[in-house]
Amino acid sequence: MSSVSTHPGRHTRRSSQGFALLEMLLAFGLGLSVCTLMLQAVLAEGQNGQRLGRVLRERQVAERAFALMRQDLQRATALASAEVPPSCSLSGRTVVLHLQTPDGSITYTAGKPSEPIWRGAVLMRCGPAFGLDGMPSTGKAVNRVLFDGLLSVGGAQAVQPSPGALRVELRQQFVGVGATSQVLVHRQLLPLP
Amino acid sequence: MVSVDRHSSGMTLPELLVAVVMLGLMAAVGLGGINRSLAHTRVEAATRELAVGLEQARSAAEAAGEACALALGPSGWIQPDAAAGTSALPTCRISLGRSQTGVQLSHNLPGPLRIASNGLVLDGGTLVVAAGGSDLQRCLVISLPLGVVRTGKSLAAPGATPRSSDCVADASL
Repeated sequence: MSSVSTHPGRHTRRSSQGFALLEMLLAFGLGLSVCTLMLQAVLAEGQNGQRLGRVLRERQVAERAFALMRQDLQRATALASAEVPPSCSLSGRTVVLHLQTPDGSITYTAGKPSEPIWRGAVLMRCGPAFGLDGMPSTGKAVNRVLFDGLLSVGGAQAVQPSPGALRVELRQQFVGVGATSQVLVHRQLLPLP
Repeated sequence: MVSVDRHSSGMTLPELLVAVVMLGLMAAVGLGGINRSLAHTRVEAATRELAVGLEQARSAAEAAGEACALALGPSGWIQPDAAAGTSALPTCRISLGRSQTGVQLSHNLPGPLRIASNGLVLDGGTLVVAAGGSDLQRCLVISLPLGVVRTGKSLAAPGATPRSSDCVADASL
């Protein structure tokens, strides 16, 4: 027969006493483990969403920067030589692309930003401003930030893989929660003047 | 016998007063936290609406192939005609949305923000969004000509003229 029928009194007493301390601790431990795992999964999902959102946002801005470069290259008559000084102060930034256009020289530089809102190194364009028709206007050249979050070394590069073509590469790095870093690389092949 | 009488008499006046005071304090702390949280949410929502509005305006100008303009009102984007500085340009087609009540918006834009027919932004500046009940001041820096918007935290004193040098990147964003 079962223990219940053999020791009915003992069984009843045990039941009325509720859980033993060990059982309670085990239950709490298991519950906490499950909760922790679920919380971690939810947080990881949130972080993944943030990372994906950042990829989409940054890609969109990179596309716009490449479109502007393409527009400037189409208008350029030649790559400007190193003797032609840029129209703006470079403040220690390195020249990525230096163009000669009918509206003046246009210089893309990469380096340290001048303002604290920008993350990492920035890609800047020094050249004529634009009018309502989207075309360069006459007037003083202005130096503006196009893209940020770039690596301080090799963040923006322009190389000529073949005659008549220019490959521009932008490398971004973002440090997320828990010091995890996210590296984004944007590449575009552009026609040279 | 004594203890029965004591129990049946309920709480004494000092006990009741202490309980009421404690409940009041807890409610005050709770309400303060809720108010702060609501103000914080209003600031974040207004900031998001400003950034999204500019993006919509850029897309609308590019899609229509026509230059347009937007102006800043007390709490968000408005039609340029309704602003102090009027513009001859048509208003950019954006869903202006429900403007956030209780937020204060300050900026250093020269006038209506103009967008070229190919989506390039012709006017930039710094915007600061704040709300009573929260010490958070969100700032947006609009960079030319791509209209890149970066959101950060303003370190300027409340009510100060917005400057991009006071706007710092926020790691939590």
